[in-house]
Amino acid sequence: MTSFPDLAQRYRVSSVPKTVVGDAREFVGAGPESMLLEHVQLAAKGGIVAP
Amino acid sequence: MALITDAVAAQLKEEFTRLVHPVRLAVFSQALADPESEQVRRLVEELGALDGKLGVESYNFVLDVEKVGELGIARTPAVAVLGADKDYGVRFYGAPAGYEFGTLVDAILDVSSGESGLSEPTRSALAALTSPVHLQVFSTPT
Repeated sequence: MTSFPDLAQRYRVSSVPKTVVGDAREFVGAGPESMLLEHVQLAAKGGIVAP
Repeated sequence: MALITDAVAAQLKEEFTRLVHPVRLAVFSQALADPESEQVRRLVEELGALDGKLGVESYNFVLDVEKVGELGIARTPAVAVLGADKDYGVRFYGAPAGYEFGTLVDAILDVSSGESGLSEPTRSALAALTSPVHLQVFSTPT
């Protein structure tokens, strides 16, 4: 996190583990597989793909 | 002096008996702009020497432009954990220090097995995706 301050700032990482899906969806900590899948599906639909 | 102590090396060799298929570790460093990344390169080279199923390729982030582009490397230090003939897209950025060393070892074991550990319904749903999705997990070495 402190190794990459630019990324921490860009994705507003204040606590970890933080998962960023696509460029606009995120959650902190662990979650059920179904939640991660939903994030991924919505991110895919949004067509937003980080470089 | 070795970065991986004999005791840790013995532990890792035991872990690596679980390797199924060969794994290639492509490590990207740059000595001048990021001296810490050279330590990571050394660490990964030592790690790769612990088991015959592991191979290490060391690249310079600045000079090896083609490889950087091919594997989509964004910064250093970076380790691409690659299957023998399949790239699952696993990239580890930053120093694999503390508990994060275990994360890198787990990534190696996962890629080697070729198993995601996801349920069948999830895998079918993911197979139906029509555009790529970038997943990034942020952590701190503790």
